[in-house]
Amino acid sequence: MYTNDGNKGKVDFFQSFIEKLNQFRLEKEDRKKPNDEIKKVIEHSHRILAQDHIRDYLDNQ
Amino acid sequence: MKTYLVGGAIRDRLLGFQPKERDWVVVGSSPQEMKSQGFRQVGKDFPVFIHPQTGEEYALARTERKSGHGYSGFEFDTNSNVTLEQDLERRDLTINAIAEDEHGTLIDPFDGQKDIENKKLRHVSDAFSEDPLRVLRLARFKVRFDDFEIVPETLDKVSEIIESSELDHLTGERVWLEMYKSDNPWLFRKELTHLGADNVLYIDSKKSDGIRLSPNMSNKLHMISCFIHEEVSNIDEFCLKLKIPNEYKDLANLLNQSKASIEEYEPDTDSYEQLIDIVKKLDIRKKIDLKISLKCTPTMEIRVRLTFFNHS
Repeated sequence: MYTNDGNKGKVDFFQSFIEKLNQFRLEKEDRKKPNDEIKKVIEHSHRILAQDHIRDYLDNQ
Repeated sequence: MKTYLVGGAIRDRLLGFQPKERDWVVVGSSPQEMKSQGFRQVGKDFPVFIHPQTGEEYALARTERKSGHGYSGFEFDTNSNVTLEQDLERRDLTINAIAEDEHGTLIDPFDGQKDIENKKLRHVSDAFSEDPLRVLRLARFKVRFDDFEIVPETLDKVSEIIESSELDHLTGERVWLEMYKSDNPWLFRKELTHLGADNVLYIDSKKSDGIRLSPNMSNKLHMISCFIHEEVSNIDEFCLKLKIPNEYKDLANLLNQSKASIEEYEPDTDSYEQLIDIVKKLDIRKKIDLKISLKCTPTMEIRVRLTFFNHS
């Protein structure tokens, strides 16, 4: 699954996903929301990031 | 009564390091006199006193006599006639057996300064081989002062301890404490292996390859948990034997699970929740700082700091 170089592909896959997560920042207006709503925004954003990340990966196979 | 600064504080200062703490030895005094001056007595095995203002530890000068097995098999004599030199003689290594009086004069009857200068780890006296814990301490100091050499005579003393089976009498707690105090558990184990004493760690080694979750080495919890995760086959049994706190055991087990999850994971369009779940689990305490990299292929090593959910 992770191309010819086995775990190297997996490390790259996780590394770039983690970088995307670490770069994610809440929008100014979202920061003013109550905590439970902020949590929902973050969860939703992470889901989108994960879906896009997987799609990019599969498109490049 | 006279007090002397002693041990690690002198050693570290001579080596150019900032001492972490200061220990004092008191000559010509008694528990009653110490308490009358406001010191608070602690320690069941021998009298140690806490200074009422500084909180630093003051121990009465003492001699030791082997009376049983293991680290605790000693009788102590703290009578007021015990001299500073006698107290220094019972210590483990010459670099730890230097004292300083109130005028800043060093008292160094076992040439500790010379051994610091020549980078030698050398036992103070034949009594070294009476205490099995000293093998672990020696390994720890070798990790800390990696450019120091253990002199052959001291290696002979280590062999005496190993042959006497005294290491078998060390409690799990003492072994754990020395591992905890070591700057790097991987190197600590390596030094114990060099000394022929790695059995004391009770590690049932496992083969570790593939993806590596490497820790932030400045965080003891992460570093030691990662060591356990990488090196130990049966984590629960190991932690039980050494009486390692549950937070280390739990994190080591979590790292095992996470490594397996990462290795088993195969991306497809429906696997995004699984991907998030794997990453979230690694951030279980919201402060974990690990790196994912490949073991066995250092040239390909890729490191990523995981610092999630810190977006506000």
